[in-house]
Amino acid sequence: MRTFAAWLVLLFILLGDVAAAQKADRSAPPVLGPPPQLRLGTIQHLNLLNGLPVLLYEKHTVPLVQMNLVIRAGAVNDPEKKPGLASITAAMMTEGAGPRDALALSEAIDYLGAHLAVAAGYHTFAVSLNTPVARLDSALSLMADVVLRPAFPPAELERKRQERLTTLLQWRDEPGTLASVMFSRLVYGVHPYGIPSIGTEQSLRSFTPEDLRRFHIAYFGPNTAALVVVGDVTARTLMPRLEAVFAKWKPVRPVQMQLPPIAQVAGRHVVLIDKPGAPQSEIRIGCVGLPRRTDDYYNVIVMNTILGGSFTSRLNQNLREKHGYTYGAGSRFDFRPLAGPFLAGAAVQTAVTDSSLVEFFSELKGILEPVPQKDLDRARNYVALSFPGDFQTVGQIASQMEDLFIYDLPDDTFNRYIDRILGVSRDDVSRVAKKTLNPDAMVVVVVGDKAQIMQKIAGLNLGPLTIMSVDDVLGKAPSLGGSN
Amino acid sequence: MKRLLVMLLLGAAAAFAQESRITVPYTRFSMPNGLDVVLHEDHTTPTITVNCWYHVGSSREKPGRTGFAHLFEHLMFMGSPHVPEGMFDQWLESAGGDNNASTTEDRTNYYEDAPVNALELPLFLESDRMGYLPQSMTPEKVDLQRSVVKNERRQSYENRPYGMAGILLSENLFPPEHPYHWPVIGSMEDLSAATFQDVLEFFKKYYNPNNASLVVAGDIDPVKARIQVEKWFGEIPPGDPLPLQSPAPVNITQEKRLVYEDKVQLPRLYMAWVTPVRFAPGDAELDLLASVLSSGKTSRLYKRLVYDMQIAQDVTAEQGSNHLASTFMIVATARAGHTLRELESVIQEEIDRIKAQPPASREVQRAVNQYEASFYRRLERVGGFGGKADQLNSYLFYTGNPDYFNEDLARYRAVDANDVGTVASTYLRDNGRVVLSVVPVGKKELSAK
Repeated sequence: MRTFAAWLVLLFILLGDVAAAQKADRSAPPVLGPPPQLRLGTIQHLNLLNGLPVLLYEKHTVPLVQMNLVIRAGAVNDPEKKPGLASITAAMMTEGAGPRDALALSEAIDYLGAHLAVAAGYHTFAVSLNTPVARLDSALSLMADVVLRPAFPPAELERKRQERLTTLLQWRDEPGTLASVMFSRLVYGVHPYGIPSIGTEQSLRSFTPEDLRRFHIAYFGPNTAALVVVGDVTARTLMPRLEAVFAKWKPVRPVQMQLPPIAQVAGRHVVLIDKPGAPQSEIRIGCVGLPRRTDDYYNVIVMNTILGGSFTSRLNQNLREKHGYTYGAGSRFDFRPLAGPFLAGAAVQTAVTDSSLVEFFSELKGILEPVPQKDLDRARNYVALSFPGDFQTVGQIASQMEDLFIYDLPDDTFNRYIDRILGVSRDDVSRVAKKTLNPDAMVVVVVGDKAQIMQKIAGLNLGPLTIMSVDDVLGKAPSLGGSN
Repeated sequence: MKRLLVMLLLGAAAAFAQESRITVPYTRFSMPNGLDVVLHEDHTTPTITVNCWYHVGSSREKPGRTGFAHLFEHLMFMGSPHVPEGMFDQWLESAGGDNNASTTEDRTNYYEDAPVNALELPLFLESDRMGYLPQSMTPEKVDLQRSVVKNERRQSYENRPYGMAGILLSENLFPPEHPYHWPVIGSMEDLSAATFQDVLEFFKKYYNPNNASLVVAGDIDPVKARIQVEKWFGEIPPGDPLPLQSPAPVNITQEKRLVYEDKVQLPRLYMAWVTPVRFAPGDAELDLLASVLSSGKTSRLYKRLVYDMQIAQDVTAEQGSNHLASTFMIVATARAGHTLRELESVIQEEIDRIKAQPPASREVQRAVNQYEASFYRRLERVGGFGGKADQLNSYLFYTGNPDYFNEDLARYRAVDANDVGTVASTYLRDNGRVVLSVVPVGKKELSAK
C-alpha cells in the first residue's frame, strides 16, 4: 500500500510538469467533445404468482434498496362528497398495521433506519420504502403490513383529522399556498384537479374509519398495482422474498369513476386575494395544459424550457436578471394522466406587481413568435444532456420507472429521451406554443396587499378583476377548540 | 521547483466490502498558488461536478455590511472578463449543465454539474471568476443583484410565516461582537449600503485560490482532470493569508425571553442554546439527543406534545453545527386553543427527565441506525448541494480530511445512552438559553411569558 501510494506521488509530479506547459486560452469557451448517451441497464419485468408486476433495476453501488408500490387510485377516486379521502387513507396506512399499533410501527421502521411513506396523488398511491439492504427482510415485512393490513384505528383517525384541520388553518398564513389553491379552483372548478387533495373542512370532519377501509378494499390489489424495485438486490434473491409477503394479496374490481369534463379557460380574469401589509405579491398565471401521453410531450418540454423552465429562460431573465423584480420567475406544465395545468409564477416586490404582470404577458405573447435557433439549441441541450443526472439515486431511478407503469410507456423511453428532445425543431416549438398558450384565455391570481396594488392592476385592463379575502379562498377558519 | 503535496487515500475498491466501513476514495493535491484540489471518481452516470468552496461566509462581514458575503455570491454569476454577462449560465445550460451556490456563516459554495464531455467548461468558468472577476464588475451589476437579494429576503424571511424567528435568535444567542450575531441574509439597510468599492475589497481579500478548495468528481479520469485543473487555475496568483477567527466563547448565564408578534394563526415556541462546534466532543451526542427528542412518533417530545396530548402541531429538535459555534434548537407549534406556556412546561419536563435519567439504549441505537442509513443515502449523488463532492469539500474544510465519512459515522456509533444524558445536562442549561415566542399579532397572552 505504502509503495503504491509513493509511486503515484511520483507520477503526479511528472504530470504536474507536463501540465505547466499548457496555457489556458480564455478567448472563447472550451470546445467540448460529443456528449455522452444515457445507457441504462436492463429493466427486468417480473410477476408474482398473483399477477403483481415487478419492475426491477439492479444497482449495486450503494447498499440501499428502494421499493415503490404504485396503485392505480388517488384523489380522482374520491367520492363526490368526500374530497381528501384518498389522501387521508394514505396518511392513515402507517398509523397502525398488522400486529403493530401506530407507535410500534413507527418505532420499528425508525429502528431499521428505513423510510416508509404512503402518499396519494391524483391518480396513484405510492407506498415507498427506502432501506439499507441488510435490513430488507424486516422492512419488507413492515411494508407488506402497511399495504395489506392497515388497521385505521378510530383514535388515530381523530388525531389525523385535527392535524389536517390545523394544516388548513396554517394555509391562511402562506401566500404561495393561497395562490395555488385559488389557481387550481379557477382552472378546474369541481374536477378533482381543482380541489386541494387534502380535502375541505367539511369533508375532513366527515371521514370515518369505515370510509377509509372501503377505499382501501376497493382499490388495493395486485391487479391495480406495480412494484418498482431499485437497488442492491438480484431477481433470484428478491422474488422469493416478495412472494413470501405478497402472495396472499387478492385481485380487486375497482370502480371506474365518472369525472367532470375538463374545459379550457375561457377569456381572461384576474383574482386578487388581499394580504394586507405583504411585502411581496404571489403571482400565478395559467390555463389547462396537456396530458402526459400527448404526442407533443417533448415539444412542450423544450418550449417551456425557453419560456420559463430554466435559469436562462425568458421569464427568469426578464423579471429577475433584467428588472430585479423577484428572486426567481418560471413556468411549467404539470403533466398528469389527464390534462394538468400550465402555470407561470413568481413572488414579486409589492411595488412592481403591475409591472411584473406586464412582463409576464409580454413573455407569454413573445413565445408565440418563432424562437431564435440559439434559444432552441440551448434549451434542447439543457434538458437532454442533463437527463442522465436524474438517474443517480435509487429513489430517483424508481420514481422515473413509476412513470413506465403509470403511463404505460415502453422501457426504451429513457434511453431514447435525449434523441427525442434533441429532435425538437423550431417549428415544433412555435406550433405547440400556439396550441397550448393563449395569453387572452388565462386565469391570473395575485396574493398581495390590495391597498397598494389594486388600482395599478385594474389599470392594466387584463380582464374582469375580482377581489377576494382569505375566507373566500379557504372558507372561514376552522373552529378548533382547546378541548384536548 | 513547485511545492507539491500529494496525498492519496486508497480506500477499499469496493467501498462496502464490509458494511461497517464507508469510504470515498480520492486524490488530493495542493497547487503552488495554494488551491487545495480533491479528485474523486464515480462512473455511475456520465456526469461530472465541479464544486468550489471559498472559506468565507457572513462571519467575515463588517458591521454595517451584513449580508455582503451572500450578495457577493450572487455577483459571482454576473460574468467575468472572458465570460460576458449572462453567458455563465447560457454556456453551461447549452452544454447540459446546471449550477447553484449557497452562503452560510462559515463558507460559500459553488457547484456546476454537467455531462462528462463538458468538464472543461466549469473549470474555465470557475477559474475565470476566481482570477479576474473585478475587471468586469460594474455598479449596475451590483445594483441589480441587490434588488434580487432584497427580494430573496422578502420571499424567504419577511413574507414567510415565522420567517423572522431565525434572525431574532442569532441576535440574541450571540453578542454583537460575535460573528454569528447577524443573519447571513443581512439587513435591508446594510444591503442598500453595500458599495462597488466593498465588492472589490471583498474579492481581493477572500476570493483567492489559497482561501478556496476545489473538488472535481464524477465520471472523470483523475490524471487528465488534474492536468485540466492546473491549466485553468494555475495562473491565478495567491492572496494574503487570512487570520483565523477565534471569537470569545459564548457563555449565556441568564435566560433571555422574547416575544415577537407575526402574521400567523398559531403561536410557535423556540428554545435555543449555544453548543459545541461541528466535530467537537459533544456535537454528535447532541445530534443523537435531537433524534431521541423529536425524530419519529416514539421520540420523547413528539410522542408527548403531538401524539399523546395533541397540544402541538409539530415539534423539532436540531443541533445546527457550525465552525465557530453551534446552536441546539427545539421548535414547537401550538395547536389552536393552546398556549406556549403549556408547550414549554412539557418540553421542560422532558429535558429534566433526560438529564435525570439517560435514555434507554434502544432509543439511542434507533437514532444511530438512522444516522448510519443516512450516510449510505449521502453516497448516492455526486453533484449538487450535499452530493459527494460537496461533502468532500465540507469534510476538508471542517476537519482537514476530505474522506472523513467513516470517522464521522464512527462518532455516532461510539455514543452510548449515558453520553446522550450527559450532553443534555451539560449544554441544555435552563439559564443558558434563549426562549422566543412567536405569537399572532395582538395575542401576547399566548406566549411562554
